[in-house]
Parts: sequence; structure tokens; C-alpha cells
Amino acid sequence: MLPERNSDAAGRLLSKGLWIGAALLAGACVAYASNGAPKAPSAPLLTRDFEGIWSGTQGVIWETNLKPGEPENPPFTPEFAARYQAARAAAAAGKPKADPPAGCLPPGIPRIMASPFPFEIIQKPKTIYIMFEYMSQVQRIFLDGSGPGSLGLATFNGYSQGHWEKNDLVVNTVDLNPISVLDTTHVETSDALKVEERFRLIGADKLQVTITLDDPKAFVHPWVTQRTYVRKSGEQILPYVCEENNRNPIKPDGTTDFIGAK
Amino acid sequence: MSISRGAFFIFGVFCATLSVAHHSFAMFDRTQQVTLKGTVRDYQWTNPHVFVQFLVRNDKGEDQEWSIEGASPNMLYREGWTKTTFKAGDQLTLVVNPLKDGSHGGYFLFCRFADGKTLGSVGGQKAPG
Repeated sequence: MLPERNSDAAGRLLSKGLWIGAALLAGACVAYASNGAPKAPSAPLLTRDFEGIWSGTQGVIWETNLKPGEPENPPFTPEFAARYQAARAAAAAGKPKADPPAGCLPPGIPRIMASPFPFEIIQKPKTIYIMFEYMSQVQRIFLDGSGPGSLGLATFNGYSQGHWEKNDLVVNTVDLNPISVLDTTHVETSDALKVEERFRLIGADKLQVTITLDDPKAFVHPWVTQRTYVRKSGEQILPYVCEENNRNPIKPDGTTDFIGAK
Repeated sequence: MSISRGAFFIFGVFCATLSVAHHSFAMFDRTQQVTLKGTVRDYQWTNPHVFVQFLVRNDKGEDQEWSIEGASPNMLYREGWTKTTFKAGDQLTLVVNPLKDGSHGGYFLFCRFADGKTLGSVGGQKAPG
């Protein structure tokens, strides 16, 4: 419910009164400096309130206007362009390369941001948690160096550090598992992938996330995608255990199986 | 006939918006719709996909079992489905996208219950009025 969220937000506001006050003062100074006259704030007061359950407004394909033949979209290196073309050719021939989530492996960061299932953001002073419904995954975002630092692992969700740039939450993720792919069209990335996600409220209940993939092995320059989400009052995160009854496992030839009567 | 093809072809347009999360749907023929009349043997309200095991009697009077895959319970729950939406013995008319390989399986589009009530899936699919 919106009133409850505002109430919760008010509590956080009280606990962060000094910070908010300083921010307002700074904002007022900027307004005076730039225009020479006071003006009403153009952004809502609680612009750092990302808490709630969010649902994507776009599909599960990473970039729907992707044109494999054009080098700028995505800006593949020759090696990864060839890999993508091979994957598309294999799919067209009825022998698609194995898509890890079909075998119940997590989609990983950043693909999970293109899931059709909602996610919940929980904000704590030193850590932000994103609880994804899809495969019950969690992304922990350590703020301002509060975490242990890179663990040197290669995991599906990697290691995320966040900081604030004005009211944008900027999340940088490393240590990602290179077996993840971006979608069912099989856009691959490498072990050099670094992901930046810039979370920005563009409406009371509208979230924009600008996702930059910096991967010098896969892309000749960083590849930027933007996705939007809406905050869903009254929604809840449901359990999702993929291994419960997966009747569509990956066959050795890379195609997706269909297990009949059972 | 308990099986007919293309009877609801006009509704194919709704299928194009189907959200595909967990796996490629290349195994299903999205251009074809098959109507099945039969009886529920088993309803599997499970992740990552719901299944209806469905017995369809052929012209020889033999029951043939079809495996009908649906979206995830999470998605379908938000469309009003629950773990008791179907039960063994329910008499239904199902409309599905069939498997390309011709075996007895398909993807759930919508159904009509014996009392005439209808049920759709996700992605804007609605049963005919």
C-alpha cells in the first residue's frame, strides 16, 4: 500500500534527517546559483526510496532491436560476433546452443534484470538487497566499501559494490561467471565482463536502470541498455525452485528436451 | 473427433506476446493450434512449468496421454490459477500449440471446463467467448 510505504519512508527520513537536510540545502544552493532565483524542487523528496517490489515492463530478450549483422548493436569484437552468428545459425538449424537457465542454472547478473518475474529491493544503511523471484536469487550490494571486497570467485551474481551519485544508485559488479548468456538468442560475454547498473527513479513508482556492459573481450566499447520497471503495491515475491519438476532439460546436442508423460 | 487442428487459428495472434523465461519454446509449433477434448489424469502445479497430463480418447476408443505444458506457477498464480485449478477426472477442452515432432504434447493456450467456464494463460491469451 502506498500510504504504508510513505509511512516507512517517513521513518527512514527521520533517521536520516541530517543527510536529507544537507541535501535540501545543497539543492537550494544549486537552484539559486544556476538561475539566480529560488525554484521549487523538480524531484520528489524521497528520491532514494527504491524499496518495494518491482516488475519489468519489457520482454526477456536483452535488446529487441538487436541486429546481428550490424557491428554496433551489439558492438561485438570479431571473435564474439562470430560466436553469436554461429549460435544463431545453430538455432536456425534446430540445434541451439544450450541456454543455462533451461538446465535450471541461475540467469545471473545482468540477465536476471530481464526476467519476467518481479524483484524486491530492501535498503539497509550499508547494504542493499535485491531479492529476485526468478530462481530465488539474491544480489547483495555493498555500499561505500562496506563489503569484504572482491572475493575472486566467478559466480552467477558476482560481487556488487554500490555508491550514490546524487540520487542515482550506481552498482558495479565483477567476478561474474562467463558461462552466463544474456538471453535465449545466446549473446555471450567473457570473464572480463564488468557490469554497471545505474538505478534512477523517474517517477514515484517508476524505476529506470541503465545497464552498461564493459567487456573488452566481447565488445569493442561498452554496450549500454536501458530497462524500466514499475513498483507494484500489494505484490509479493513467490518461491521459485527450478529443479522441482524441470521437464525441459538440455539435451547433449544443446536442444531443449520435452519429457512426456510422467 | 476429440482432436482438431486450427479450430481457433484466429487466436494465434495472442500467442506472439508470450513471455518465455526459462527455456526456448522452439519445440512448439506456434503457428498451429490443436483442440483436445478429454480428461485430466494429473495436474502438476510445479516450477519451472505447470503440466496437465491429459487423456484423449482416439477413434479406436483408446486413451492416449498428452503432456500439456503451461507457464510457471508464479505467472499463472497472478492470472488467477491455483494448485486446485484442475483435478484428476476433470472433463476439459484444451487448446494448445502442439509439439513440432508430432508426439503427444503441447503448450497450454486456454481451456473450457465442462460447465462452460473458460481459462486463459499469460501474455494476453484469452479463451474465445
